[in-house]
Amino acid sequence: MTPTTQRPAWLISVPLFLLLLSLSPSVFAHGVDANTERFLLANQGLAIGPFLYIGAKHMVTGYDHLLFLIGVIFFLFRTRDVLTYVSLFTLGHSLTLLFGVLNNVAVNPFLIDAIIGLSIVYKGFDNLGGFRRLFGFQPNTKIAVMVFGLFHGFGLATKLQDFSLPQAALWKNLLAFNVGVELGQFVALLFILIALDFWRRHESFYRFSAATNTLLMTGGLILFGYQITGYLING
Amino acid sequence: MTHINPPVQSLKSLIIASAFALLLAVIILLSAVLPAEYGIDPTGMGKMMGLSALSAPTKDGNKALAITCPVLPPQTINQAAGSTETIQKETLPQWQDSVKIIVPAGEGLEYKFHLVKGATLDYSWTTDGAKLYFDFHGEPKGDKTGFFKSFKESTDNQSNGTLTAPFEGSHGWYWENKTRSPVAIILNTKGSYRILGLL
Repeated sequence: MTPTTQRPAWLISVPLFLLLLSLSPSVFAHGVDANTERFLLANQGLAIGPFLYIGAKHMVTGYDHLLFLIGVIFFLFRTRDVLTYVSLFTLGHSLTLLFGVLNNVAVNPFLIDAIIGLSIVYKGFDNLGGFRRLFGFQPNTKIAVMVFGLFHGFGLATKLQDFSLPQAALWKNLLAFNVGVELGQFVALLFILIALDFWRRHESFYRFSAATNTLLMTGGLILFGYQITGYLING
Repeated sequence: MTHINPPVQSLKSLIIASAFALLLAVIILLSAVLPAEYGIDPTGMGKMMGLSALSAPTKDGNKALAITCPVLPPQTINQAAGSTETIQKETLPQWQDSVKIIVPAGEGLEYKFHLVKGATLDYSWTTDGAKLYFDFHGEPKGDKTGFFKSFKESTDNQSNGTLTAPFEGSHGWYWENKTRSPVAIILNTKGSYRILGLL
């Protein structure tokens, strides 16, 4: 049945501590909050610390990323698998973020966020075994995660470009931002893993796995509808 | 066993799950997300729950708020500490704008206009009776030190005059209501300015 591995205590205490530190009343998808916006507009030059933090915060408070991550690792039981998939997602994310900002590639943020919503729907459907049932085969999940990682990165690149970042030290700031994104992802992942790990020890995980993934699809569809409407109105 | 393949659901439960997800998403979108985010309210639920008040007219309007100082959308004004109510211009031909501002009991608020240097602002305001402490002042554009220049400071239930802006920036009133009940102000203005509204 389920693996009953013992996780060391710090695995639980560290993220809890970080959660308390970063507890923020507002949660944003790809948006940037007012304080961050003010900083980005005023900043001229190298600022490793702030960019690290903004990157990490973006990941920890971005519910679209979090939903997608939950979907991805929902049925990943081995630590090695988790690491593989998350690395692929990170690779995709980083590539388009760096490429997008350095080459001034701007994609409509509403469309990107709508695609990210669809990525959540896709993952929920995939977790229900939908592709194997309907088409008799499983699309390569590793490639899918990587491709959606690319989209998630474009969303971020588009958002950052709105602030016409100073060219001086641009790539260093970006790199700091990207490292921050990975740190934030790591922290978020710890939470999700702990919660899932705990839940998997109970029978209810298996009984409610279909319901959970249905709700994941619901969440993705809501995000999709929200962003597409935004695109139609403001895009 | 440390690895479990995701269970493959039957076609029936797949269809049920997808249909349920779609239905729930549509219901939440129509009844909550769209009214709150965009003011689109096909079901009337948004209005019933007061969600429509959350939506600003456009996303761009919100964004510009932090950068420049655009006109506050009417919804935002109503949400602010006091409440204002724009009165139709047609009924008051001698003024360009007329606004009703409610200062809550025991609180203070500011109503501002953006004027370039040398621009004029003709004004006249009266309260519904009670006297308010007020400070008519201007803050230079871009100043972050908190500097302001006071034009008129007093406690009264009315005031009128003409201001010629000594510098570009936001000019207007701070009113403080020291009484125990809300006080309404009618402010009439005319001149070359941009309304910044309640701050």
